[in-house]
Amino acid sequence: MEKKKFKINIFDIIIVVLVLAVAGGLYAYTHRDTVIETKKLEYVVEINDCAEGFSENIKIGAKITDGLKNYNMGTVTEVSAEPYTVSVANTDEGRFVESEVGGRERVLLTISANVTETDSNYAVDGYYVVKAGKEVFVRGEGFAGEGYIVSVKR
Amino acid sequence: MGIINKKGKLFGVINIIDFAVILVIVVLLGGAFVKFKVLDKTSTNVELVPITYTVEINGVRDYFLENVKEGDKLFDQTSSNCIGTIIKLESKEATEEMEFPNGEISYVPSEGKIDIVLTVNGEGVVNDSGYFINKTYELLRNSKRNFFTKYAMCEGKILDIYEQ
Repeated sequence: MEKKKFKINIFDIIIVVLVLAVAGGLYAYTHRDTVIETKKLEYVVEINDCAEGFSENIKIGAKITDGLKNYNMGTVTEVSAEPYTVSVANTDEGRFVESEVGGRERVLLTISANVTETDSNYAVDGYYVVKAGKEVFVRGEGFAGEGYIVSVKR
Repeated sequence: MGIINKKGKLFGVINIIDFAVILVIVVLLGGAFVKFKVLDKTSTNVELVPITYTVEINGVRDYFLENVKEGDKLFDQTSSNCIGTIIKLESKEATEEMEFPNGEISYVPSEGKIDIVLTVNGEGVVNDSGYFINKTYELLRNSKRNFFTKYAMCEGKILDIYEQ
């Protein structure tokens, strides 16, 4: 049987060059130096419709995570509580008024976190985007709740 | 003679793999030419003009106002593109629809909530089809959109559009 001669032509070289270029590009992309600068940001989260005394379960220094995706949200630096209110129709006065709900409280957590900053966002650890008006589902050691981010300090 | 002969050559002239390589290179070069020489020429002909528009945000809690300032950039939540800068901020007590015992329905004040009107300056194109911020974000009066700034997010409605 005739032995086939090993011969390299120009197209084989082009294929090798293309494969090497793609492999090199992939390596460079996946081994980029990722130096991300972070800064401290403080923001306030309200947890609504909690049983009276709930705030006592949350300690300064508690780590908070996002209950949906488990992202780090930061560390609690301040805890306070105020009566929980809901908007009800007062037809006598012709207006909606904020009415206190007995036995319930609204908990306000000030949270400090390391964030990355872009033109449009602050994100804790580069993942959890912080904005006033955002609905949050928080989880800490031994507690959970839902509410909104009400303030992002400038 | 078949299309590919016993040696694997197409019409007896070129190897099928070599032909495929040539084809890929030709397609890539053609694509690059269209992208950088043909498409660019048409897109740079459009001149951007300043466009001012107002956005109404209804019935938000009063804390919202503390998180939005004049000078903040406004972004579209769908594309995350910047769609202008807030140049004016007005607020008043919000109203909500209430049904009275006699069956009458009217808008009445709502404690602790506010309506906000943002005036926004952007750049875009104006043509027969309408107003387009950054050529792509169409402004439509009375359309509900989701917006955000660096500090806050909300739903709002485009109220009015002014070409400068």
